[in-house]
Amino acid sequence: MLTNPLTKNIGQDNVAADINRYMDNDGYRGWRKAHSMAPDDIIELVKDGGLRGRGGAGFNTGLKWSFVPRGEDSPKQKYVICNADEMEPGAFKDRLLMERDPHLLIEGMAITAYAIGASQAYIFIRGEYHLAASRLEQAIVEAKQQKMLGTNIFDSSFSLDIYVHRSAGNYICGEETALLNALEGKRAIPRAKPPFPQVSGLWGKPTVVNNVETLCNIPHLVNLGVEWYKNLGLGEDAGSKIFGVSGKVKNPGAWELPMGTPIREIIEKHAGGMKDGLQLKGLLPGGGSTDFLSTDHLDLPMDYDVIGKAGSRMGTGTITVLDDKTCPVGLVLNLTQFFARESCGWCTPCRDGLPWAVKILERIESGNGSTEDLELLKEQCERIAPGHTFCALAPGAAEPIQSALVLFEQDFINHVTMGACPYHSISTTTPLTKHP
Amino acid sequence: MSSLLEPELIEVMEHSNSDSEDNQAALSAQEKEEIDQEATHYQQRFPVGLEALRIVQKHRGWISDETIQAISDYLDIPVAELESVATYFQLIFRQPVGKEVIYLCKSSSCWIMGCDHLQKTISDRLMIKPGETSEDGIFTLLETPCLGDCDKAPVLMLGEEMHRNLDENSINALIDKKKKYYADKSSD
Amino acid sequence: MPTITIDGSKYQIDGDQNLLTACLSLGLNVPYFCWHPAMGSVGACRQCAVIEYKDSGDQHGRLIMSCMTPVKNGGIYSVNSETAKDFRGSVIEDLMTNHPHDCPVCEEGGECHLQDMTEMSGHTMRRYQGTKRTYRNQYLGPFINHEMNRCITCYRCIRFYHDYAGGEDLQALGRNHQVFFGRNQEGMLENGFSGNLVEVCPTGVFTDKTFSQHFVRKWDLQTAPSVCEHCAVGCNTAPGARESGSQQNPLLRRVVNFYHHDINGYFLCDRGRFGYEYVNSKSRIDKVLSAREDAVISSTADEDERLHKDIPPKEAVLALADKLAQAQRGNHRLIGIGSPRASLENNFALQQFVGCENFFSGINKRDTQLLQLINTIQCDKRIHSPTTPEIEDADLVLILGEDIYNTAPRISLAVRQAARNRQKQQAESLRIPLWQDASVRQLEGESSPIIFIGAELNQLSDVTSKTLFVRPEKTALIGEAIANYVSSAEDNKNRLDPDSSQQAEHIAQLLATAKNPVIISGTGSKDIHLIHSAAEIAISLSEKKETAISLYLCCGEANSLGVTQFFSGECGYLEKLITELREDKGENDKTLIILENNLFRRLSSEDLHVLFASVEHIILLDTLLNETAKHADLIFPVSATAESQGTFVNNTGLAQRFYTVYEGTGFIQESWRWLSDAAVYCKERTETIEAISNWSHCPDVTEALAESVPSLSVIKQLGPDENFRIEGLKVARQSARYSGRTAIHAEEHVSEAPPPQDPDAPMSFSMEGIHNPNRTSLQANIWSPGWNSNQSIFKFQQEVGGERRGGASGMTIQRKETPLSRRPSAPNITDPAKSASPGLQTLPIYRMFGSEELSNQSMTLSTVIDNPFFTLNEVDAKRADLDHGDFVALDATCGIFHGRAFISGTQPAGSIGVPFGLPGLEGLAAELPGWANLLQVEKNATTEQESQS
Ligand SMILES: Cc1cc2nc3c(=O)[nH]c(=O)nc-3n(C[C@H](O)[C@H](O)[C@H](O)COP(=O)(O)O)c2cc1C
Ligand code: SF4
Ligand code: FES
Repeated sequence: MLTNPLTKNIGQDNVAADINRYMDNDGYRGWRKAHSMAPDDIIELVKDGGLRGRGGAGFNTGLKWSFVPRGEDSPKQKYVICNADEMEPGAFKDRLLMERDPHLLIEGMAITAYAIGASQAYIFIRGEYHLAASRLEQAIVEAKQQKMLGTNIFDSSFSLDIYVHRSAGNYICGEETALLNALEGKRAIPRAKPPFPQVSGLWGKPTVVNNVETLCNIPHLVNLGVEWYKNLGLGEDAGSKIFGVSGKVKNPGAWELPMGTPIREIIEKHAGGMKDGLQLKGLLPGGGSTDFLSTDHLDLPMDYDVIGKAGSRMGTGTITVLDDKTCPVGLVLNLTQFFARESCGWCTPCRDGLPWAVKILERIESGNGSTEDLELLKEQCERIAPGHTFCALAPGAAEPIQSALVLFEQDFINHVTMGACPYHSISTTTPLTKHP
Repeated sequence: MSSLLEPELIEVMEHSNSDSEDNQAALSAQEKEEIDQEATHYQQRFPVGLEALRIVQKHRGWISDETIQAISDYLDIPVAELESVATYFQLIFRQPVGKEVIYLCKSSSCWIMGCDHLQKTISDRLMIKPGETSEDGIFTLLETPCLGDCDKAPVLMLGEEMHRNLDENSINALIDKKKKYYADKSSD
Repeated sequence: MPTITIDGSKYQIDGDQNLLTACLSLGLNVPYFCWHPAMGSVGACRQCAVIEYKDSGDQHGRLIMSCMTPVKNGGIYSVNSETAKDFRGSVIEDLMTNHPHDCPVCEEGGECHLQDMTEMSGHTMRRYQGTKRTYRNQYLGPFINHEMNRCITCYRCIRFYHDYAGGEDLQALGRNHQVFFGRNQEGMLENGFSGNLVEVCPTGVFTDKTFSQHFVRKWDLQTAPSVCEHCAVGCNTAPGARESGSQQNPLLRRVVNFYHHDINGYFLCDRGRFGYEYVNSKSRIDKVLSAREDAVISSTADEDERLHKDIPPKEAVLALADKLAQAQRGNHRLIGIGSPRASLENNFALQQFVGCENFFSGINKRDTQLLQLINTIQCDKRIHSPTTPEIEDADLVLILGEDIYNTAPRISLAVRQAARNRQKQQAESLRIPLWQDASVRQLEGESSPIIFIGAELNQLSDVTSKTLFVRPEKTALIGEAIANYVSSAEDNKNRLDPDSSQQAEHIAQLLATAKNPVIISGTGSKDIHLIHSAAEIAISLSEKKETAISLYLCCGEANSLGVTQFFSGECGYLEKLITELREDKGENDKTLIILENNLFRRLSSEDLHVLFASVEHIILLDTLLNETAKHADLIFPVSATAESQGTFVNNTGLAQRFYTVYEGTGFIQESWRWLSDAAVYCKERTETIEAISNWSHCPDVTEALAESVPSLSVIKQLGPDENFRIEGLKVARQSARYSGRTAIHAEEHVSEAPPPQDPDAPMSFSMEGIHNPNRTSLQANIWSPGWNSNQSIFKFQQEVGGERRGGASGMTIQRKETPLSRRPSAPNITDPAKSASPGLQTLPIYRMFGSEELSNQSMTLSTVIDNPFFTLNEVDAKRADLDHGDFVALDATCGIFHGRAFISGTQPAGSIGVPFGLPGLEGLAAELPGWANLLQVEKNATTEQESQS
């Protein structure tokens, strides 16, 4: 039984699987099979498969597609967009998939486009991913040559063009409605929902936006079926996922593992545990916009709802570990600076609240903070709670702050009472070469 | 990410007006061709504005006032609308940059792995702060959001190439290599 | 109607609204910034947060943005919940982190929406300890000041300027907390609605620079409802005045919008907003002037021009009374020339003074024909004159020969909104509420058909679906063909070239399928056939659809249609008077009384010469010194619109009253008062003279006029008369906090002078009186407790965006219904090459700044008027060997005029565009369209020469 559908073509060497190798290894089978199915059946299949969006929100992918208007009087033009903006601090899975197995993504997009009836698709890729973009462009050319894309695919009336759109930066472009504006060449400000993109998206036409990894799940799900897919997962959630670990572990990296793999297994077995002399202090389970989890949570399986119940989010599934010699306040400050700078500038609590939070954190980290500052910081987090701001960026920014204020409360207090950063001498200023 | 504590004078309007020789205003035939090619990917005229900025910047390194006007003329998009987009996206430069742009990742994993120290190394070596260009005009140092290579932190991107698992030595070696390359080039 | 519960009280509300609008309509105070009644919601500022409960059992509820929440039947909400209040306070706190504490020196202070909302949201203590962001400001031209540090990033400015008004040169730049609203380079804002930024911006980022030059706080402004005199749309305004301590002269200090549901809504054009300064200009007449008879040594005046000295008013009144008495005795003839820019009352007074047979409209023959035709067309019941909201709702707009951006600016803003109707339909089909502005605007797709046929169109080209740039004659022919296609009549179609004919057919088809098309035309092209063909299109459509068709006809000046009511048929025009005078070799002396009119814009110099030579005395009543004044023997200083009460009839036949904002300086008074004064002193008494001398209140004149002209009988119902009181009180023109009543003249005396009494309206020139918009429609101080900014206008409305409480100002005049008779078909097109007259056809073109007489003399506005220029197309330019910018001489029958040649891509072949009324080219105005030659004077003259010219 195939257990690593996402990475089976990815080897040690940094090359992309070309179309021949890809096809030799069962590539484009899912696409052929999908093409012989009715679009509605594909949507049902994906829905039943229980694939949840890998972009962070974990929404059932088939269900999302089913919101696209179908039938005669629905708009002719529809779009599929691959969200390849990967800019979340600590996320590094989409780059891997695109650089090393571009055809898997293309196949996934082709099936998606067919399922919802789109004849145009875009890969919205962040501007810094030069290698991935050019490999994708190359793969598109190959796929066209093999008539997997283009006009009248498999001699049917279905045609599909995929374009690579290189973005010009900004984290907010990853937010799917801001992405639509960016793709339209406008300032990437999020849009109000409703209307959802599935109804009124790119240029007001029905549009499905999916994450790279989500789309890479599609070919094998269609090809090998719901049962197989569901069985890949260990617990609640179906399928496999790319999990990763960064930070001061012995063997940082990314691995395809079943959904529901326990955090401990990922960190200790695959990432080799903490570097010598360091203790695990906490972790961000899925990127910079997720709440810190503590060592108490190590035995939790990486399932959307489980992590959700523990007070955090699965996010991207790439874990950032915090060790006991790195200052949690400094880390939170670093993240908040990121979010403040990446705020699109549309809504008040995010635009003006986050820079204020940065200033408070700077004061605390530099030893000039007061206990009132801690209160104010808490208040700032409440202000940018979900629903209070226009999009999910600011609530995401609040997550590491609010959880750190609870989990690492003593560290914050120490900063205030000592009037200095207690970690300063042992952490950030230490030359890397002399690192333990 | 430079400190938000510093008093900030925002000068959206302030950019160097002068074009260097290789940054002539009029679009070259090749630039036009690439823009036209890109335009075929979209139904609408508008997205091409941002694309054109990116394409022309690829050739010229940055977007000057004259360049943005030239793009506006070529695509018949109001220049203020291009400006609005150009100042929004961080990878469009409205100020001159050096021949090599160092995009130093400053996000969480790289920070944990000590990117502040790397930044100090670069700054001391090249005598530039983030956002500045070295006196010889070769290097511009920019801080950049997570580059998506966190398991190989700390990382930076030089031009279009990634450099991973960096330390002081590898950074110095990298700078030496580039410096030598440009020294050789100019003595040719 | 859905029922909702807010804080325990049940309300019935309009179900298409969002919760914020509903709350405001109910009179609840919910703070907001980014929402705007005319521009809808975008959910950016997060200030309007309230709580929504799932059901009656829900204890906590959910924080929502009221502006982004559709009201649902049975919905339960709380505005006053602590959670919501805290959050709203926190939004203000966030906004204030960067906001400067410069309220004392900020010109928005006292009418600042941010101040109001800060108060309302309860943020008082500053907890933010960081530094503030600092922006560099831009020079945005002479009208608008830019102070970006005050910005709270609500995005209203660009949503108005770019999205609503179509301006392309103001944008949001940058991102995160460093968003900057500005131009890509410094320079004057190009859009003619830029002044609205002052009102749309909730803080002091954009302020009125002309107001700055004589700034006082809003609460120190005295105001009254007024009507804009700078075109015939009839926008309602609230001018503000206050005396200045040292000179004691009251100054008109600014003009702001005064909401009128059917006309201007929330927005004015820049001519209307900044044109007011003529009132304070150096050419203002404030004394009685008499021509000097003593020899003047070394004068620069031309031969027949007079030099004037001021004389006591009494002397002048006696002189006028004497002329009146002589006329009664039959040995003198008094001739009156009225004016389309003077009120009905002033025109009527002059008509009574000189007698109907001696009264002329002050309009030339051509314009009279055009206006009479428009008047007749509007009397046809198959024609409907649309309101602004009706134009905004049109699913097709056909504009024939009228550059509305420059001749009826506010209407062009309405047409711009109409262009979005397909988008709105699409939104409705996607069930996106129309108030959800950004979501509606993101829908791409065809814009609604906006079709223009004519010589020049400005500012609307980005929304037009089809434009045909042709001369007026051809516009008329195409119009006629469209009408014929609509009614499937055969005649005349073949007089057009096949291409135009096909276009006409296509347009006819579009018209036939449109649900509520609007046709727009007017006097701008000065072509009678063109107006006729517009009417015929409407009539043939009306027959087909069996309903009245909207036809908006622009009439040019503030009271053009009003003056037209004094005459039936084509009479009363100026040339008629000249013919009479030519024939009359009579023995009687003649006195010409000119009412608020510069005849140099109406008649050819030849006609003027005859006119002035045929009369012995010329008496002028006017506001500004102009060319005509140079020929007058006696000049009476008269009040400008803001200084007087009166009535104008706008393009759609709506009669509107304007009220005295303040009393003019010097000896200024209304024209009718001068005439009435003369009647008092007149030694000969007749019934009419008795009546005139008995007028002491403006309503006296209004009533007499209503009796005299049947179509105008409604005007006596326009407002309460001077005796009206609310609980014994008048309506206060000054705010309840008007300050410095005794201190303003403290260097001379501290006793308070008694305020002037208003004999005309039930309003006081002081702060004593009623201040409540619910009780009177006369309150123009746009203020309500807690709402010091102009946002308080919703408290003046029956509901947000509804009619003003106390009724809309204005009543439609009652003209006799008469079906329009078919006109002779339009003449064939003249070929300039074969025309008897040499050269090219000169066509009037218009400019927002430069074409209107009064605003041209406003100090600031006059600095942005173009130097004389002529436009012609490339082919004609080539033939004449002219380049863009060449200095040329236009050789017309009435003389030679200098200017620059501008090459325009749209100027129809064989024609030259001549800016109507532009300073330096006024003398050409009467001769457009006409024929002329362009001669080159200098090739591409440099700027140096420009400054000399
Ligand atoms: C601020 C912000 C940034 C985001 N960035 C990304 C991103 O870089 N890549 C991504 O796939 N999804 C990102 N998302 C999530 C997307 O909005 C969207 O949910 C996702 O692309 C949907 O795809 P999925 O259903 O396949 O997960 C982001 C969301 C927010 C609020
Ligand atoms: S929370 Fe508001 S300001 Fe922040 S990114 Fe989203 S829309 Fe923009
Ligand atoms: S008014 Fe509702 S968010 Fe601004």
